[in-house]
Amino acid sequence: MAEVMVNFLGPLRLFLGEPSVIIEVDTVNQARKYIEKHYGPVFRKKLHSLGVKKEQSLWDHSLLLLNGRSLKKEDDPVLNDRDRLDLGLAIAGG
Amino acid sequence: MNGYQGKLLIADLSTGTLIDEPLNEKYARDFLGGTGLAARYLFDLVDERTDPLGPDNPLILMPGLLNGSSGPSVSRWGGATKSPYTGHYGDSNAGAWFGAELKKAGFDGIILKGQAPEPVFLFIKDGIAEFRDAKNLWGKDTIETQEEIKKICKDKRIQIACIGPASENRVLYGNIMSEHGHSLGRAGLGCVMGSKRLKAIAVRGKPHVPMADPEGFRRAAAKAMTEVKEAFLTQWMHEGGTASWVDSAIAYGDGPTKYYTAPTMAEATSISGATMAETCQTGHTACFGCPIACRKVLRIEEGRYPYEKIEGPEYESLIALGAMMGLDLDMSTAAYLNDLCNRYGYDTISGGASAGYAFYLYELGVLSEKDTGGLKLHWGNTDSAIELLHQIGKNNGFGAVVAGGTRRMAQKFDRPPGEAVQTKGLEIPMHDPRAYHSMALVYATAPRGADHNKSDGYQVEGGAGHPDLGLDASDRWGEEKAEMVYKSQNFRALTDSLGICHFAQIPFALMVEMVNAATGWDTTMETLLNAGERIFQLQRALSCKLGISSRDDMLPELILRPIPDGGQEGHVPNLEKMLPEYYQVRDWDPTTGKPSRERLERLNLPEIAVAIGAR
Repeated sequence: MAEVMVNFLGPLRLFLGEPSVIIEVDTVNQARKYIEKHYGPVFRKKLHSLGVKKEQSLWDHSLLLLNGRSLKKEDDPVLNDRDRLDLGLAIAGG
Repeated sequence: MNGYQGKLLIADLSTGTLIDEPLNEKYARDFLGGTGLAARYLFDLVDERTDPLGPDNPLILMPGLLNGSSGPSVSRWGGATKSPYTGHYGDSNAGAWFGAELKKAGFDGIILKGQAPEPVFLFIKDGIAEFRDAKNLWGKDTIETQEEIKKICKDKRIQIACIGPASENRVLYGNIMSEHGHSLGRAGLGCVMGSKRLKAIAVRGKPHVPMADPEGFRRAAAKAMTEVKEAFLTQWMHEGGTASWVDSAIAYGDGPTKYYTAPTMAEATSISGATMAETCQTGHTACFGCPIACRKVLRIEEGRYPYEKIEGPEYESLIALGAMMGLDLDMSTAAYLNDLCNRYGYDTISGGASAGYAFYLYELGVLSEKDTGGLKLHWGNTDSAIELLHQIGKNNGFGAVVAGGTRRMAQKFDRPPGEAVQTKGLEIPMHDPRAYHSMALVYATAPRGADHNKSDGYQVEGGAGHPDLGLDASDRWGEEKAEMVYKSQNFRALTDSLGICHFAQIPFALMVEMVNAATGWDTTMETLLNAGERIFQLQRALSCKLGISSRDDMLPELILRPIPDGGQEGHVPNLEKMLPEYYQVRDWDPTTGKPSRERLERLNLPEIAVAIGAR
């Protein structure tokens, strides 16, 4: 398995409770599952604490970059040691 | 006329006359409100001979169609004029409460003409307008001006749009400010207001806008409000604000650093929205009727410029006034620089980018202290940056050169034109097209010059797609961008004219419901998107009328140099491939750049086709 750094960009660290995590996985889909399992409940709890009732997924508006390159939701490349995943939110404006 | 007040205020500063004019119903139906409607009126009033700072150039301010209603996040209002900065079509959008209050005060817009002999401000209350003396306000900054007018009018809830010393001093990218930091920020609308000696517009009204179906509107607005409140994007924007983008910009290489020549400064994370939330945020402020409340209120105890209470800078300003000049800012100094520009009242994007260009030329050795009046413009020299920003606001010293913007600076110092990072005279904002290739098309084709808000490029390319427009997420470095940019430009031309904020996650079907209930029209998503295209093509036609052609649809050479390190990873957009495809989708003439006669006629714009000689 590859040792991969996952960064939670910007306010996502406020929603997930920490700025980054190092995980051991083989592929991007495994990384998604790891994040969902360990941080999905944290994310939903945070939203509920802000008064949001609608059930939402961390992945509805998120974007994932592998070493700076955009990944589509269906992309599942194999990961290597020292790869970097950046999880952020897709939003326009500012 | 439901959804509207049915009249405009025509204010002639030269004669002091104020006339109510019936709103042109056809224009309203076709162009809705905000910048769309303003552009349509402007088209009839300017040509290539109009002096932007002369009495014949109108400044047109219009609320968005839904401003003042109970819809969520529908506070955006706009303005249009012939820009003194770029020399052609200029427009700008802002949030806050001014647009809603103007509409409630009884007007669908104001057309300002002429030039007053002495400084005045315009006061509008419940449908009655009057000019008042502003000699004692001239010279005051934008915060002092608003506080003073509230005292003069004995009304703390009055809403004000005003200019600061920069626009009085004819800084060509002077802006119009409202509250503490909301601005019609681009293309120099404030400078035009200054040329008219109009210091401010103060508005106050009763909350009534006629609705075709008030109950239907309340239902649609309530559903839209729930959608916005429940959206994760709302929570994200509330927690982090636009400043939250700083961290993403570092990852993607999106934030221009050292005048677009270096990877985005990682140190900028110390002034990001998340850092604000963690260290100094004490609250939020919201625009009219907005549940998002994305603006931050900060208390900054540490650093050179402590603040008991100050509004947090937005993303664009944080990068333009920081990384652009290589400044490693702490929160205190970032807030100070932003406050300084807001008080003088000038565009932080053009101001910061022009200052960044001065630093770049100094580092190259093109400029010396002899040229800069003793300023040492080494990357990261915060003290010199502060002094330069003051000089820009005063339009004196070396600041008077930088106040002319990058294009004029390149000419003055005999530099290659491609070194001035602007399109059509307007500096490229803080989203680098090498990080998101669609932004290359967006900047090259925006009617007023570089405009990051005229599409959803980095949303779609960031991975979210745009389901309402049938757009899937795409690679941020691909080249198949024409269709996506076309659709999202039309969509943003539409939402700007309706007055809907980019951050409001209102399903398109509910926008249609609100428009129909407000106006009594029987419109659809398709007809509204058609209106979006009509507005965009009209703005393009107006640019062409004022001298823009296909040769202006370009990107400067400097921003096409690869930056191998950092989030861009050396990628460069291929505009030569994308632009012809875009022209085909838009139906623009490859030589003149004008929209085709057939397309304009199809969009119900035959008179525009004739006026610009479209083929």
